[in-house]
Amino acid sequence: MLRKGCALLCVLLCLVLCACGQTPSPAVTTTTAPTTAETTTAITTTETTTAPTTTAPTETTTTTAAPTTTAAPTTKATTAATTAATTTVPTTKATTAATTTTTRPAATTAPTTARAATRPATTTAAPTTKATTAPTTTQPQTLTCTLAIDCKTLLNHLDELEEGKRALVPQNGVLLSARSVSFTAGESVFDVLKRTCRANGIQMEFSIAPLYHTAYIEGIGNLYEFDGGPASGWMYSVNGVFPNYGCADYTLQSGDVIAWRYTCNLGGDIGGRNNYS
Amino acid sequence: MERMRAIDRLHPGVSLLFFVCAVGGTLLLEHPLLRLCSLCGALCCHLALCPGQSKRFLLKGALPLCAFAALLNPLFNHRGAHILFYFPWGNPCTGESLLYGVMSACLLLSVLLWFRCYAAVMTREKGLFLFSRAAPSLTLLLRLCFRFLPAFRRALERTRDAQTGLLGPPRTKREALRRAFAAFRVRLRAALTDAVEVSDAMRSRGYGLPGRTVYDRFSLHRRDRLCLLALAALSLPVFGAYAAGLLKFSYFPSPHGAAVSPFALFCAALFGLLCFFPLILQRSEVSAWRT
Repeated sequence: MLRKGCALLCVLLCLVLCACGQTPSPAVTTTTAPTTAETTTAITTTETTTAPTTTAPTETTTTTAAPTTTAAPTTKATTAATTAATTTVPTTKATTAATTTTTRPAATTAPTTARAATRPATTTAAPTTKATTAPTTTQPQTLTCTLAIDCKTLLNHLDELEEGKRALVPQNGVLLSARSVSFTAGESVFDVLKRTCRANGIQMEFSIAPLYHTAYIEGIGNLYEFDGGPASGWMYSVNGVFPNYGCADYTLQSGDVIAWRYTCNLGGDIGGRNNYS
Repeated sequence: MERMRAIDRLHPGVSLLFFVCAVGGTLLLEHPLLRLCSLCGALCCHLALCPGQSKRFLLKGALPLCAFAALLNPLFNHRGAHILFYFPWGNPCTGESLLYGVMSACLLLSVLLWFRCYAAVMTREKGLFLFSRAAPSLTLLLRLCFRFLPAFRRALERTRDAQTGLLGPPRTKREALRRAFAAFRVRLRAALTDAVEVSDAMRSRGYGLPGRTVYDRFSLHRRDRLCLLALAALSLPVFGAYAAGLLKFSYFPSPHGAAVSPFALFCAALFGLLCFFPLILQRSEVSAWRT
């Protein structure tokens, strides 16, 4: 009983881990498949073809992801992997997946024979884009961007601040004047902000959302969200545009101008788009 | 031979008022000076009121818990102007968060100690005397609840002993588990029967009926009135100052608030006297008997 319970728990845990690990993978976002059984096999094949580039943990999670949706065939698959000549449709699909893990060249052809030929065009496209982007990220080359941090809007909302925090707002509202910052290719707005704050001794607190792989800036220089009213917090713009998504997801280009600005009105008072009113 | 404690001779209401003032003040007043006063008072009172228990309680229970609480705060709180170092995951560890953690650990420790003292002073009969008239059934219910777990554990141990005496030590783990479940089942059934019996017994005595009178062992003497006056004189100015916002203190972004002014020192002295109230009472008693 106890052993069975433990096994069941482990399986559940694996399922949860798979669900968490699967959401951000690019292969899932590119494929919009009619049935779940086919998409999962498609994912496994693409991941195995790009085996040298992708890291080991992601590979294992995606291969174990297949049994989660197609529960019945997989138990057969392990036994019927050698005797692939059996007739039923689900088992043949599973065996193709099993063989592709062992022999790489066959992987590109096997799914096409198993399913309708609409899918592989998109699924094979994913590895190629990966291969092209991978070398550029690995090469370190220094680039520069401009970074500025200000809280000018708070000058009009000083009465909303707590007593101890009023002294934190500078006279001109500039926490960090615009300066050129070097970064390596592939770094995000968040990386640059973190490094610069640390170098200049500016307190900064963030929280990481693991599900979305991004960071949220809670406060800079001890000025936190909600300090200047219920609609206040930190926002960033790059080249004058507010991207309105996670700063850890914004990959910088050379020459970008980043501005971190404190808003008291959901971005409406600093020239951003107010998405919430 | 156990020495007679001065606070035991007080009226239960006065003792209760003292504990309410001490714990309430500890929880409300954020000023570090007052918090340290409370901690010192609680420690000394615990040493005096629960002799021989302090060392074990502090080392085994309270201090590790408080150290854990103090260290936990900087892990999750990154506010503060003084950055000490950076955690591996990127957020700063600030001096203020560390200070705040230490001060909240002090709060935790002093409240724990105060409640230990309360349990040592306010015996069962005092508690029943104080609350049984206002809320008879609730008092009885709480009393039974608090008694339930220790009594249940003792009874369970007796049952386990009887099992090993009758059947010998268990041979397999499976058997041990089965026996444990059997003992638990038996004890649970007995506890339910006991509860019914107790409630029947109390009802047959007319407990909680409207016209029922209570025999008072305690009455307000002149001594008690003096103590009440003293408690009021010590606590009212401090709580008044708190209500007026004169003892505000905040740790973020940097420690600020009521400075160490003469007034703050005066309040701290009053609150310190309040926290040492049982010891002062004891001292006056000793000197009164000696002369």
